[in-house]
Amino acid sequence: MLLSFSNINSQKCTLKITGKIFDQHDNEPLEYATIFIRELETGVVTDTNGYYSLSEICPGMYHFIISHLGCESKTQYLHITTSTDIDFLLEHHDELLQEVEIKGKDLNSKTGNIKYFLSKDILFELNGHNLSEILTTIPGVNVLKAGPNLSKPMINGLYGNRITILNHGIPQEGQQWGNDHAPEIDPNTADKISVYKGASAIKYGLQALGGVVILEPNELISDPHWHGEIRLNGQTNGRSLGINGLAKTTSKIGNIRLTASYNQSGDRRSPDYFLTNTGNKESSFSFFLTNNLTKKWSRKLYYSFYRNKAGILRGSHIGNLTDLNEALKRDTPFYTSETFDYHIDVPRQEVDHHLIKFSNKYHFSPFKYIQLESGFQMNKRAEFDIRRGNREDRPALDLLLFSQYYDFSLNNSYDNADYVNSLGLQYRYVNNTNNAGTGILPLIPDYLNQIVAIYCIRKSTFRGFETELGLRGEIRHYLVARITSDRKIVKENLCFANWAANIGIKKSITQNLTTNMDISFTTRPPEINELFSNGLHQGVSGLEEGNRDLKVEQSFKIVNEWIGHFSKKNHITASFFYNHISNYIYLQPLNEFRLTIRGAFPVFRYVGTNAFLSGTSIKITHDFTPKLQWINTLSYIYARNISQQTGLIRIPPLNAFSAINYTLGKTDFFNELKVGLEGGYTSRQKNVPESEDFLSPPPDYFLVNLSLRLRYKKKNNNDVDFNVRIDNLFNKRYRDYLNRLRYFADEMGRNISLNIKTNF
Amino acid sequence: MKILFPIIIIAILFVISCDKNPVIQNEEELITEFKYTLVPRNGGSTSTFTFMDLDGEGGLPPDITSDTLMSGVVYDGKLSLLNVYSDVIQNITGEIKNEGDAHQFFYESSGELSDKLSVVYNDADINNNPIGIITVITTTGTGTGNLKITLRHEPNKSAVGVTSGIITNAGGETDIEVTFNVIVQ
Repeated sequence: MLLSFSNINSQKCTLKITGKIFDQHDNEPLEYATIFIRELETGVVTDTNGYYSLSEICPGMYHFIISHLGCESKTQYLHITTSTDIDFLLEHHDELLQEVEIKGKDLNSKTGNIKYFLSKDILFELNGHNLSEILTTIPGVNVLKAGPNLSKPMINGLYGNRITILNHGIPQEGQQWGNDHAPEIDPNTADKISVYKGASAIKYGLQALGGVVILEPNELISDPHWHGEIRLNGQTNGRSLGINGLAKTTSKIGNIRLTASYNQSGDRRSPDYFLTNTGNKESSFSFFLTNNLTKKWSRKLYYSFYRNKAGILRGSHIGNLTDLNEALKRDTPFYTSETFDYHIDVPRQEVDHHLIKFSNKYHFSPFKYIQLESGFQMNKRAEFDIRRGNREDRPALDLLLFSQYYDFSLNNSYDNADYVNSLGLQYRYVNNTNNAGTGILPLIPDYLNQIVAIYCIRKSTFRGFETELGLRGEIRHYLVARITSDRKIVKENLCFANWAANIGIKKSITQNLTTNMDISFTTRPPEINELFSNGLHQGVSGLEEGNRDLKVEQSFKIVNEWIGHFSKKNHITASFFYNHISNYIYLQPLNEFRLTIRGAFPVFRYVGTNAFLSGTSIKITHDFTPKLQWINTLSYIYARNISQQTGLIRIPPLNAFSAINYTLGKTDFFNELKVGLEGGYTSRQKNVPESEDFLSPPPDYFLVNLSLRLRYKKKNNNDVDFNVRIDNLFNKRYRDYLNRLRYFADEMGRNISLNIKTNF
Repeated sequence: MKILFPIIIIAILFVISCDKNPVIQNEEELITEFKYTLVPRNGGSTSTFTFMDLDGEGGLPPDITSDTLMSGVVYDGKLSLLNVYSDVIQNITGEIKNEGDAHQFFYESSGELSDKLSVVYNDADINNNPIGIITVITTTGTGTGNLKITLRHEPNKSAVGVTSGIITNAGGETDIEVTFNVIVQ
């Protein structure tokens, strides 16, 4: 929308706008940053002090677009009435993954832990990949897979029932217990994705003892026009195509943000053969609305829908132990097809997830407010297996889950106070039902789960130390209706009372060196699958049995993190942790094999043991020049099953990664060009209990990736970005310890992906 | 109205159930009884081998009864598969026969019997490949050993040796695998 003022108000067009542009991370002024007014098609560049000056501006409403080499452009819509001084902050160096400091009062930030953000560059480069795979770019975060489509995040060795994913402030509620159950969230519904690696149980529930993954939108700003982004992505491996986008505007009812996504891929390919039946179809939609009922009462409404149909490698679905042993001996999985197909057959999963969230905040004063967050979720999961007698269109597992979540909190502080207190009450309700019509006894029973919790958090600053104390008490009740082996229904009531405590400390030792320490004690009651699982679970290639007598887990965790910047060219983030868990619940293979008419099956039972996990993850970035950057990461975990004197199963092996990035500025052909060469080494996991696995961990491997990014600026100063990535450049044959499919097939071969993004 | 709207929505969604009443599924694919009946062609007593597994994947051990075979006899063998839990006792054999091209039974004798027990297919699917519900057993000499009967779902019937009853290259998924101890006297 072009405003033309030249004829009407030419006498008033003498306004002057000046100011500085800063790097949001370290408050350093940015030289050669561009500030451009879209409606006037005019702009200037900042000088060596980050200072800009625009003159002869008419009064009006304008889009200010601020950009700088290596930063995401920022647009601000402002009403200019007089000469004014405006400073702007740009997110630069965002690969440093450190939370921008909001001085102490932000209760959503944990004092004792670093919040690791996924940079916007990574979110764009990996657009088209699922959430868990994108998260692995953070050192210390791994992915547990059941083939190319089903991925779960793992933080410092913990996953599933020990991690919470916050979807716009609401803990994601689905069938988290399954190792082959991926989180039903599209990463494109969020603007910011971050991870806390420390125990975050106080506010987010006792399942968060391993950490949290946080998906959140940016604050919506007022702008009556439609703005947003459209992104296209495609990959050669799997011939995948996807389109997704986001649009924002301000209307009479408030600020609105919409996202939509569609992605489809066919059979993936290892270097030697197709991974038959690994196609995937995914779609999602979200709607976000914020408005202020009064100046003191702000509200948010969020709705999201997610649907996924994921194929599972045909050759990974085995009958009994004889079949498994034969499959382990094969080079190529059975049922491998010579040709590519988009069609998704059995075995496969079909999942739908709906989330609707209401958030209400009432301020008594700027720092004193009450907040009510409520979320409603519906999760429908159908798993289809190979079956006899035309039953393949009937799910073998058909679960419907309804959940409600309420968090009511009182937050109290004063303007100049150096403390914030928060007191909260939470209620959580989960209703899980096995739908009739499967023709198979359910793997986990129908149940109702109710949780009431109370928590308090106090953040304060004391002699330069920022501290946080937290305490949580929780009462949980399960009503379970299970079916016994002689086909009778038995109802059981279980009650658990648990608590968690946490101390977080943060100190800036110098301007360039910060350290924090988080000590937490969390007790976690067993989940329904750990207590009452019963049946054949293809995900473990065997029979799975719950254990009614499991005790509550007790986790003691210390996390110590350091962030340092040296001589403006070196940036280091290092994190160390030690986590001792008594009664650590896991699936242990029994020595017996169960003989049924289908042959012999391995049997797994949930047991508790004493265990500890410890480890480190380090990231070092060195800027040879402002254009040439070298990034190195290392992560290592050492874990032990103390009672058994062996290692723990499914702990990620040592991983080392190195990348060199070179950024070229404006030329005749493009505005920005960035090239990157990456190498990643994953070692062989040697610290394993050999008797607990069907196959020894696979050998170590080294992968090389290449990436190229081009940015163009359109006439109206909007960007068009292109990104080409080649993953597994040398088409290396390898298997990964954390992928269940390693028993049957190799990992994906070379994959060339193209991402295009433009904003409006 | 602005304040009322979200409260109405919450009231509708705020439905809390207080009880769970699951429906016990009719397990249609469960096979609780496997019976191999051998009738001698020239008269004599019928031999029957049964494998009963009433609780499916549960912990109760199956009930296996074996029988003896007379030496130098040709038997007509027939398999019968039942699910006793279904409302009407289900004849699974019929289901397998209808999907004959996607199923094949394999008979493997071991121990002293490997050369004394010969099993030959006597039925066919729509592609004229054997299914193995109906067989002919010929006994020679005496001895004891094991007879393993395997049902494979979606085997590769065109792979080498499969239609002759050799399981090595068959592939597919095992739906049944039972082993009987057999005495030939």
